[in-house]
Amino acid sequence: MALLSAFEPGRDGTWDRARAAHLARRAGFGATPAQIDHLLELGLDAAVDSFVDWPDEEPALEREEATFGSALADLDGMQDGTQDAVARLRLQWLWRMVESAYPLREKLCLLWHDHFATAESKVLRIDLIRGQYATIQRLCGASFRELVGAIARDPAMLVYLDNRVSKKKHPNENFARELVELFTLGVNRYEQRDVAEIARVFTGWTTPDRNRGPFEFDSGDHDSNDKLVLGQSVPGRRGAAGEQEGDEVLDLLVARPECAKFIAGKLCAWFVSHVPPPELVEALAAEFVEQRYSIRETVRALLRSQAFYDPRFQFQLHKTPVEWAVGAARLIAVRNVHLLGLDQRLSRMGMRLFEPPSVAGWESGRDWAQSSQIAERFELALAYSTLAHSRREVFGAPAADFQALGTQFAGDSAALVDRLCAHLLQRELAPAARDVLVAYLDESLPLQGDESARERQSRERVRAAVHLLLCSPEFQLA
Amino acid sequence: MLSRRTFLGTSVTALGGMALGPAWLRAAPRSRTNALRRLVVIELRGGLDGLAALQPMHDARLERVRPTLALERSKLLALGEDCGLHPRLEQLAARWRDKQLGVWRGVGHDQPNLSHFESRDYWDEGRVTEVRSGAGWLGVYGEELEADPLAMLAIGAGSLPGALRGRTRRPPAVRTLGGLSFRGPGGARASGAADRAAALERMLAASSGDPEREFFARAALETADAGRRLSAAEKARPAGEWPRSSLAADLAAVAAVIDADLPTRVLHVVQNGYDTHADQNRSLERLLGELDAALGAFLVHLERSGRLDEVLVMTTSEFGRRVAESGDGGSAGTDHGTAGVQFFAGGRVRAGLFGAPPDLGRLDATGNLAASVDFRRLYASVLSQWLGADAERVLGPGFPPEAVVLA
Repeated sequence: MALLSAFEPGRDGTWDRARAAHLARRAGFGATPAQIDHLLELGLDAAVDSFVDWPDEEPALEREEATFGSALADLDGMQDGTQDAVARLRLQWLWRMVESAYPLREKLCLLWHDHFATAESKVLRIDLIRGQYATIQRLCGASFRELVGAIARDPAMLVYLDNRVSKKKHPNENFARELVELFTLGVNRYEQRDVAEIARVFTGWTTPDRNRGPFEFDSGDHDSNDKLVLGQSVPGRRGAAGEQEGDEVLDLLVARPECAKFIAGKLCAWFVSHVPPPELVEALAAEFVEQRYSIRETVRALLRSQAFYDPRFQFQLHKTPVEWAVGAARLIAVRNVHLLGLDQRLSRMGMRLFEPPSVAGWESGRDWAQSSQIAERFELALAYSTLAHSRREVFGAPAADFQALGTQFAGDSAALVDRLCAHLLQRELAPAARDVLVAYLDESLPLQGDESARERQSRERVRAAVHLLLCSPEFQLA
Repeated sequence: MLSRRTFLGTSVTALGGMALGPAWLRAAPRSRTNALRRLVVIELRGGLDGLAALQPMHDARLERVRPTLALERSKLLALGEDCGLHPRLEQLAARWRDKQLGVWRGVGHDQPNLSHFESRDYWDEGRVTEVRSGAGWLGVYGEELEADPLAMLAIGAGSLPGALRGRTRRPPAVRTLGGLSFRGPGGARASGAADRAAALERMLAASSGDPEREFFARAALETADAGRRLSAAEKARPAGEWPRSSLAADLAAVAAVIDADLPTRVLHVVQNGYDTHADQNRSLERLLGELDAALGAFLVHLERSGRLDEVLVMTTSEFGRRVAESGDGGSAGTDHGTAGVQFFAGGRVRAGLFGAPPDLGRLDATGNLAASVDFRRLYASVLSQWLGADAERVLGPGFPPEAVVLA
C-alpha cells in the first residue's frame, strides 16, 4: 500500500463516523456528534480542508480574546509581574484552544512550541515570550525554512540558548547544537566539529536589548572567517553581509534529507503514532520536500492519506495534559477556563506552557501516565463535570445539552452511558467497564422522591457519568 | 484477564491477587529490623547566603564589604574557632554539639553560573553542562528502584522538583498526603463521594481491550493504591506539636510517611524565599528561624520514634550569594553568588565542620567566592554511601565521594 496515497472513500473504506471522529481528535481536540455530522457531510477532502485552511486572521475570535484578556487582568491575585503576565498569556492561549474554530492551528502551535522549546524561567521577559508565541502562531503552517529562520532570530530563543552572547572570541555552541540536534537534523546526524563551525556562523546574531529585542546582527561580534558545515564550505563575509552566512546554513540544513525525515517523523509522531512506521516517515519526508517544506501542505497530505485512517493507529496516542484538558473543555462546552485554576492544574499535571522541562520539550506517549498527573487529571475531570454547561455552539455546531440528556434518559442508565460515550469518547467503553458504570448509576444514584429530587438526581447522574468517562482509559487516548 | 474480573475495591490484598497487581504490592511490609535508609532533601530555593548562615568570625574584611549585613560576633552560635551559625539556627547548633549535624562550606563547582535557572539545573541534574537533560540526579537514581509510585515523593507545591524527575519516571508531587486519592463530589466526607471513587476504581479495573488502555488503567490503579497508602499514613499520624510554617507542615507529612513504613526512599520538600536581594537580614531571621524550628521538630520526632538512624536530611540551594552587600541601609541584600553552605543531619551523619573557610581575599571577577567542595562529591556520597547506588552511573565519572555519612 502506498501509505501516503490519498484515502479514497469507496475504494479504501467509507468516510464514516469513526474516521471523521479520528480526524477531529488528531487534527483538533475532538468533536461532538453534531460536529462529526458536519464533517461527514463535507466529505473527506473538504473535512480535512476545514482544519487545514485556517485563515490568517480570525477577527471575531480575536475580539472575544481581547475581552477575555481584559477580564483576566481584573482577576484577583493577578499582578503586573512577569510571572503573572505569563500566567495570563497561558490562560489566553488555553482559552483560544478551547474556542477556536481552527483547532489544527492551535495544535501546530503546540507542536512548534514543544519543538522549539523555550522556558520563561530563563527568558524572564513577557515581551519576548509573547513575541515568540506570536511568531509561532503566524508561521505554524508556513514553510519550515521560514519558521526556523524566524526562530533563529527570535529574541526569546537568542536569550534561551545564549546565542545573544555568542561572540567571535567566545562562540557559544548552545544554539548551534540544538539547531542541528533538536530543530533540524536529529541526534547523531552531525559531528561536534559541525556544531563548532555553526556556532561561529551565528556569532553576532544577537539582540541589543535583552529585555525587549529586537533581533540585530552585530557584525563586530561576527567571526568572518570561512567555515565548513557538514562538508560544505560557507564562505566568511565581512560587515553586514555576515548575516547571510546564517541563512545559508539554515538553507543547507533544511535541504538535508535528514531534516525532511526528522520533521516528517515529528509530524507523524504527533498526528499518527508515537512509533510511526519508517516507510510512512520516508513517504512524508518526500512529500515535505515536494511541497517545498510547506508545513500546511505536508500536514494536509498526511491527514488525507490512507495511512492516517488505518484503524490500527486509532486511539493509540496518549493525550498530553493540555490536549486532554482542552479536549474535555470543548466537548462539554466549558466557557471560563480561568475560573477553574486551569493554569495551576496543568502545571501540577506537568505541562506548564512556556515552561517546558528542557529544550527537548515535553515527554510524550506513555510517559504522561504518572501518578500525580493522573490524580490531577481526575480532579479536573470532577471539576469539569460539576460545572453548569452552557448550551452554546462550539466550532460550528451545538454542543450537547447535558441537562436535556439527563431528563431524556432519566430511567435508562445504559442508554445514558451509551449516549455520553458517543459524545465524549466516540467509541464504546470496554464492555465490563460499561457494566460497572451502568450499575453504579443504577445503584448509587437511583431516581426517587418528588419531582425536584428526581430532577436534581437526573442532573447528578449526568455529572457522574461525565466525570467517570473523562477518567476512562478511552478518554486518555486520541 | 482484566475483563473477566470484578475489581473488589479498597484493600491492598484485593489488588494483590489480581494479574494487575504489581509485584511490589504483594510483598510483605518491611520489618523495622530491615529498615530503609531514607533521604530527605530540603531545597532552599533562591540561593542561601552561606556567609550569613555560617558567618566567619575573625575576618575584618567581612565587616568592610558587609557594613550593614554582618552580625555582631557575640550573637553568632560559634562552631569552633573561626565561624558561627546564624543566631536563629539554635537547634541546628545543638545538633552540631551532639554530633548529628554536618556543616559543609565552600560547596559549589568550578563553572559557576549566576542565573537561578542554569544553577538550579546543575544542582537538579548533578551535572554542570550547558544542555539540560530534563532528568534529575535523584530521578535517575530512582529509576533503579522497584516500580512503586511511592519510591520517591515530593511534598509541597505539587509540581515535581527537577532533582526527582527521571528520564521516564515522574515520582508523585503532592501538596498534601491526600493528593493522590481519587475523589468524588463534595469532598471526602460527602455521602456518595466514596461511592464515586470506588466506582472509578472498579471501572478502571474492568477496562481492557488493547495495550494502551490497559497501560493507563494499570497506572491509574497504582495511583489509587498509592493514594490509599498515603491517606492511611496521614490518618495514622500521631497528634503532636509542629511549628506553624509550610515547611514544618511538609516535614510533618514526611514524618507521617516514614512512621507508616512506606517504601519511600527519597522525600523532597522546598522552602522558598532565599533570593534575598533586599532586606536580607530581616528575611533570613524569618527563613532560618522557620528552617531551624521545622527541621528541629522533625529531628526530635525521628528521635522519639527511634528512627533518627534511618534518615539522612540534606539541604540544597542553587548558589551562595555575593560577598559584598548591595542596596543601602535598611534594605541591604546580596546578589547571586557561587559557593555556599550545605547541612546534613541525622543519626548516621558524619558530624563536624567541613570545607575550607571562605577566602574573602580571593574573589573571582564577579566578586564571588571560590568553591572548595564540589557539590557532586557530596551527591556521590549520598548515592553510594547512604543509598547504596552506583554514583558514577548517575553523575558521570570524576566525583569520588566526600563522605557525608559515617562509614
